[in-house]
Amino acid sequence: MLRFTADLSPATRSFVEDILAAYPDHEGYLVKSFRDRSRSTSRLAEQTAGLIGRLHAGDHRRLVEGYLWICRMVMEEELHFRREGSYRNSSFAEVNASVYQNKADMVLYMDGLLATEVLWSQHARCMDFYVNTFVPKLPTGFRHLEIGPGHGLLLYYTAIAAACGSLEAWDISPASLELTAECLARLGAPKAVELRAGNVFEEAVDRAAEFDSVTLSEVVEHLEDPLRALRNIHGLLAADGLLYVNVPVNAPAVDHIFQLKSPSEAVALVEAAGFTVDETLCAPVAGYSLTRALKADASISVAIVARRGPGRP
Amino acid sequence: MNREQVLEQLTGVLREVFDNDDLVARPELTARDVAEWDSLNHIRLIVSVEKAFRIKFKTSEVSGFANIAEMAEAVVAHLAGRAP
Ligand SMILES: C[S@@+](CC[C@H](N)C(=O)[O-])C[C@H]1O[C@@H](n2cnc3c(N)ncnc32)[C@H](O)[C@@H]1O
Repeated sequence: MLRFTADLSPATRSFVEDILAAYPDHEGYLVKSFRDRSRSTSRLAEQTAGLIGRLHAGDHRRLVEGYLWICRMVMEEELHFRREGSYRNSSFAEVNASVYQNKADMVLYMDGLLATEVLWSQHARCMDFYVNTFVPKLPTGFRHLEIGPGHGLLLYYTAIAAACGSLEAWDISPASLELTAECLARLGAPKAVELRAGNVFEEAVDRAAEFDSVTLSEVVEHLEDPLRALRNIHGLLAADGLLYVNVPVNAPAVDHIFQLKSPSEAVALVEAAGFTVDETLCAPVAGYSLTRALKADASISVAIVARRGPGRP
Repeated sequence: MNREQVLEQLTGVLREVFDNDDLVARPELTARDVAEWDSLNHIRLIVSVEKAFRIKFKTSEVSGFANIAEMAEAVVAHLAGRAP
């Protein structure tokens, strides 16, 4: 039987085949996830698959294990979410102790999340939007901050932009910071990155207007008070600074404690913090159109480019 | 409720969850026969069945049905108060 993988680009195909060897029942989902991708998204996913190969010297075992972990975790949380209508956890302190400070699980989690940047259409589309829409908007010599870099891939894609001046990143999880450092070192990021262990709420004081860009990708849903975090970030940005936010709605996970129910709620949250939203991408989970995802409360990744200042005239 | 009645009601649930009005809850139907029936949608199906019949599957049942017949039999058992 000719598998759908025959049509994939080489690095993507090699990765998908290793995933399917460990998780054959996943084929139906992946068929949908790779169907109808734009050329730009497919090309970026191929680049990401190549980077994943370089990161682990062509050995996918660690990422396969992480991916199986994340799929199992999401299924368990999805069952709770569909039954109860809400995420299982709501306390940052609990999730911090059980997830962010739990090195073994955090490595599996971030490895799995990295794998989803190729395998899940909604994540591949957001990464494409980040690399090809957000980063090219940043000015020459831009000073960048990422909060919650996790596996480090977005930071790497930012560091290789020719216009990039300096980079800093904060993460609450020591395991995440190690993975970020490992990613940047192994892939040979051309710029040094200042990595700090810390919580967005504590680090964001006394740093007024120090950055031209801030990335907050898959972090809002982990915060008890995202509006306060976004207001702090507003203060970190220079007058014409840009923000990239990616937040999934109706997307249960073990460490998601803040639930948004629709893309418009995500946009309203960013606006309430004082930003002007320039562009939004809504990427539903594989197999769903946006209309159907909205109707079924299925998960949708919402990627937003916003500016600190007022909108362009 | 007997198996036939459960199957009839399951047809409506399948159609709603997979957004496909051609589906019929035949006993031998499996996930492989329905393109939309992937691992994630399986969870939606399970919870929609639970809500439709006001039952709660055990964790071991959630991923344990080989086909619709097994799911229907489990529903009948739950409704009769003799869950496996
Ligand atoms: C789901 S990962 C996102 C990784 C990556 N940015 C991406 O988009 O794939 C969330 C990251 O945010 C970090 N994080 C969660 N809460 C945080 C907080 N209050 N302050 C700083 N980092 C936080 C976690 O440790 C983790 O590394």
